[in-house]
Amino acid sequence: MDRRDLANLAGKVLSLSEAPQTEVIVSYARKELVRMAVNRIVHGPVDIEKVSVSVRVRDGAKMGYASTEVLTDKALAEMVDMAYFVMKNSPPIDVTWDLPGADASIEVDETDAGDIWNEDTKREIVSTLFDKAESLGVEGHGTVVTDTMKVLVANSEGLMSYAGGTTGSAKLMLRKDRKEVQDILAFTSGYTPDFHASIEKLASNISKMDKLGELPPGDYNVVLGPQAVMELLSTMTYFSFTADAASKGMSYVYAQKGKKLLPDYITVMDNVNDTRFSSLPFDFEGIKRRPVYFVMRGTMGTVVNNLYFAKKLGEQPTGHALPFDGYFSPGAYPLNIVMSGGEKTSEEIMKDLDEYIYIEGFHYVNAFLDPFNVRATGLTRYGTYRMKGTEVVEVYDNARFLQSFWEALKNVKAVSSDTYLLPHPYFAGGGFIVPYLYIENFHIGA
Amino acid sequence: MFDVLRRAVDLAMSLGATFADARAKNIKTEHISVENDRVDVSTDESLGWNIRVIVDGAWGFAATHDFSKIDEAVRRAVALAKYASSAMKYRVKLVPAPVVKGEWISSYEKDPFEVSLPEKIDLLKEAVSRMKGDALVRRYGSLSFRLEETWLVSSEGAQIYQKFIESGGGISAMAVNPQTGDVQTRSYPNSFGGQYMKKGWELIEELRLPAHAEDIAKEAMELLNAPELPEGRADIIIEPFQMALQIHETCGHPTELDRVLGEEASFAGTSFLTPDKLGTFRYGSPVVTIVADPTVPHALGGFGYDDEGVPAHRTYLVREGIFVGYLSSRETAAMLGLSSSGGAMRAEGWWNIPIVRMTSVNLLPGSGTLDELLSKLGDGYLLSTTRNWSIADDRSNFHFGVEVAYEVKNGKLTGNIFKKASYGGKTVEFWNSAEAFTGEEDYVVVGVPNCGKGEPMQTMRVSHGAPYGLFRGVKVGG
Repeated sequence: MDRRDLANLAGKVLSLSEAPQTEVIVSYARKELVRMAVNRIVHGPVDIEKVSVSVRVRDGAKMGYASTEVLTDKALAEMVDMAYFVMKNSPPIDVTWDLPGADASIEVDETDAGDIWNEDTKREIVSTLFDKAESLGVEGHGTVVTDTMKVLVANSEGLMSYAGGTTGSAKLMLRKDRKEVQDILAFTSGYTPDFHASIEKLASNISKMDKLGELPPGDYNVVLGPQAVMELLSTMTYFSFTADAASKGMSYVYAQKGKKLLPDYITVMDNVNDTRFSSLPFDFEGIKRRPVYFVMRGTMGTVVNNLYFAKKLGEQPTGHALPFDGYFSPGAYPLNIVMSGGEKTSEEIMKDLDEYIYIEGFHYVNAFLDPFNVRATGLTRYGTYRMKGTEVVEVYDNARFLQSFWEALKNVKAVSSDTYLLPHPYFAGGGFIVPYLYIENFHIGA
Repeated sequence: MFDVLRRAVDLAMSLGATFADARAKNIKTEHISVENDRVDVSTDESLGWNIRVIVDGAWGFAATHDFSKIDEAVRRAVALAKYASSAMKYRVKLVPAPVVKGEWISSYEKDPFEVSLPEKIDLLKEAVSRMKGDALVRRYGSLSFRLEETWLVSSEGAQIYQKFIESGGGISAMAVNPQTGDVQTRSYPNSFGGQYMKKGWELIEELRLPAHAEDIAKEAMELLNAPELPEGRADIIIEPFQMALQIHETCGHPTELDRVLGEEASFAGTSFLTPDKLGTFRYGSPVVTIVADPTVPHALGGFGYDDEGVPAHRTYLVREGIFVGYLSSRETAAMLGLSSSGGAMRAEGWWNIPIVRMTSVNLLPGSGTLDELLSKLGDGYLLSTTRNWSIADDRSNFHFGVEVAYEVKNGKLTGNIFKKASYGGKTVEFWNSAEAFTGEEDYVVVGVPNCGKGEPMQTMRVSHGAPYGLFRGVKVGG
C-alpha cells in the first residue's frame, strides 16, 4: 500500500461522516522478524502486514471513535456508524479544542533504513552471530527486525499529513548457562551501527564471565550501560513525562516544574528532530511534534501532551498524541527520548574510577509501588561486574535492586559524551538516545 | 473460510512444505471506560489470516489482512522457511496429534454485544459517582468485551472452528496526597482491569461493581494516612487475585517449555525449572498442586482446541509439591522426547504465529473457609490486590507489591491497614512455605487478559484458579 491507497481510504471515511468535525488515521505496518535462540531460528521468520483505520467524530463536546482492520466499504461505513453511535450516547467531554487545518499539513519523504532491509545483510547478521557463538561454545540468541510504517492523518478541516519509512533493529545475545551478554542496535536513515563490532564486543564480554558470584545487598557506586539507562528512562516516561501523569498529580516533573533538583549536566528531552531517529514528524492528531525538555540542565521542565491535555493543563500543544484508543490514558507519549551527553567518554570516566559496579542492563522494572518518586524494583541483566578502572574484578549473577530513579539521577556524578541510539521496544521508529551514567549510592537488594 | 485456508495449505504443500497449517481469526472488541466524568468508548474489528509451513525442516510464517494475497503470502512463508533452513542445522520435528474436525463455542447466557451502550455507560457512571472524596484524583471503571472466531486447517486434515465470548470489568479509586506525592489505589475485584471470564453480560451483573465503589474509595483515602508495612519476616495470607499473579509469574511462566529450551532467552527470559528436575524436584510443600486445564468452565484461558488443533486437556505441572510437567507444543514436546503435546500453543491474533502460552493454570483448592485460614494464621497479614510486580528472568525470585495489607491478630482482622506493602523471595522457598489453601467456597478463576510474551509481542488471555493461601515466614515490606 502506498500513500495514495492510504489517502483513498481516508477520503472514503471523511465522505461517510456528516459530523461537524471528523478525524481519520490510516496506518500501514509491515514487520519482518527473524528470531534466534540456541543457534537456531525459532518459530520461523515471520512477515506480517496490517492496515488499520480509525475515525473520531465530534459535535461540540460530544465525541466518539471507532476503528477497524477490515477495509471493505461496508466495514468502513459500519465503523463510522459506530463512532456516531458512541458520540450520540456519550456524555460531553470536559474540554473541547479546535482541529488543525490544511495549513498544518506535513508531508515528508519516506525514510529508508538502508542495508538492514537487504536479505543478505539480515542473513549475514544471523550467520555471524551463530558462527561466533559456535566458535566460543556458547549460544547465539536475538532478533533481526525490519519495520515499514506509513501513517496518514486527515481531518474535515482539510488537514492531510503523511509520513512513512523503514527502520530496523537487531538484538544480539551470547549466552551460556546463567551468563549472558546482549547488545541492541537500531538502524535508521541517519544511524547505521556496526553489527560486526557489536558481536565482537559481546564475544569479548562473555569470555570475561567466569563463575558468577552473588552481589550482596548494599549501596553501590555504579556505572549504567546504555541498555540500563534506556530502561531507567523508559520507566520514568510512564510515571513522570506525560500530561496524563501530570493531571493526576503523579508526575515528579510537572509537580516541580521550574525547580532545580538535579545536577547541571542532566538534560532529558523528547526530540524527534534528532537526525538519528526516523520517526513521524507529526502526531496522531496531525500536530507537529515539538522538542520538549523534561529536565534542562537539572531544572524540571514539562510534560508531553495532546490537544485534550494541552487545553486541560493550559499548555501549548506539544504534538505527542497517541491514536484515538489511547487518547485519554496515557493520551500523549514521548517516543524519541534523548539524554544529553557529557564531556568525557565512557572509557575515560570508567578509567578514572577506583572501584564500582558496572551494570549493562535492567530487566522487568516496575515502579507502581511509588509512582511519584519512581521507586523502582527490577533486576540487573546482561552483565553485572565489579570493576577497577576498565578491568573486571568479579562477575555477578543478576541482582535485584530497589531504587528511586529520581534519587538516582540526583546522584549522577558523570555522563558520558558517547551516546547510543536504541530502538523503542514498542514503537517502530521511536527510540532512546542515551549515554553511560556514573551514579553513586545505587541500592542493590530488595 | 475453510475453503480459502485449504487452498493456502494445498499450495504450500505443492511448493515443498512437509507440513502446513492456516488459520483465520475474526476479532471484535468493545471497551468502555469512565474516568471521573469522562466516558471513553473504543470498538475495533480485525479479520485476517496466516500460513505456517515447515520446509526443509524449518518454519516459515506469513500473515496478512488481505484474503486476495493467498499466493503471495504462501510463497513468502515458504521462502522464509527455506532461508531459515539454510541458516541453521536444527530441523523441526512434531509429535503426533489427533486429527480433529470439529468446533467449540464458549458458553454464555447473554451476549454482551447485544447490551446497549447507554446501559453499559450508566453502570460505570453509577459506580464512579459513588466514589466520593477530595483526595480522589482518579475514579475509574471499565468494561471490556471480546468476540473471537478462529478457523484452522492443517495439511494433516484438521479442520476446526471455535468461537469465544469474553467479558471483563472492574473499578478503581486513586487517591493522592499533593504535599507528598503519595499515590494510593484500591481496586475491585482486581487491579489492571478487574475480572475477566469466558462469559457474557452475566459476569458484569455478578460483579456488582457499583456496590463496591464506596468501599474502595474510602480505603484508598485511608491508605494515604496508613503506616507503611514494616520490613521483616511475617506469616501471610494471599487472596485469590494476588495468588493468581503468584501462580502466573512463578509457576506458569517457568513451566513454558519453549522458555525452558531457551527460545525466550533474549526477551522474557529463561526458567529455573530445567528438564533435569522433571519428576523429582520439590517445587513446593505437599499442599501445592498446580495444573494447566483449559477445560475449566468459563476460564479466560479455556478453549476446545489449541492453535495447533490439539484438544484441550488437563496437564499436571506440580503434583503434591513435586514438579512434574510442562506447558508444551508439538515441537517443544518432540524436543524433550515427550510423546504428546500439552496443548498450549496459542496465538493472540491472525497476525501472530502460535507460541507456547499458559492456558488456565490453576492451583487446586485445599479445604476450609477463609475464617478457618485466618485462625490458622494467628498473627500476620492478609495481602490483597496486585500493585507492583517484578520477577527474575529465570523466575527463581520475585518481588510483588499489593494495594493493601490487612493486619491479623489472634486469627481475626483488626481493622488496621498498611500501605506500600510488598513481599518477595525465592520462588521455591516461597512455595515450600505454603501451609494451607482454602476450599471450593472461596475459589476464584481469575482472568488475566494481558500476559505478554514473544517477539513480536503477543498479549494472551489466560486464567488461574486460585484459593486463599497461607504462607509462613515470608519476607515483607521494603
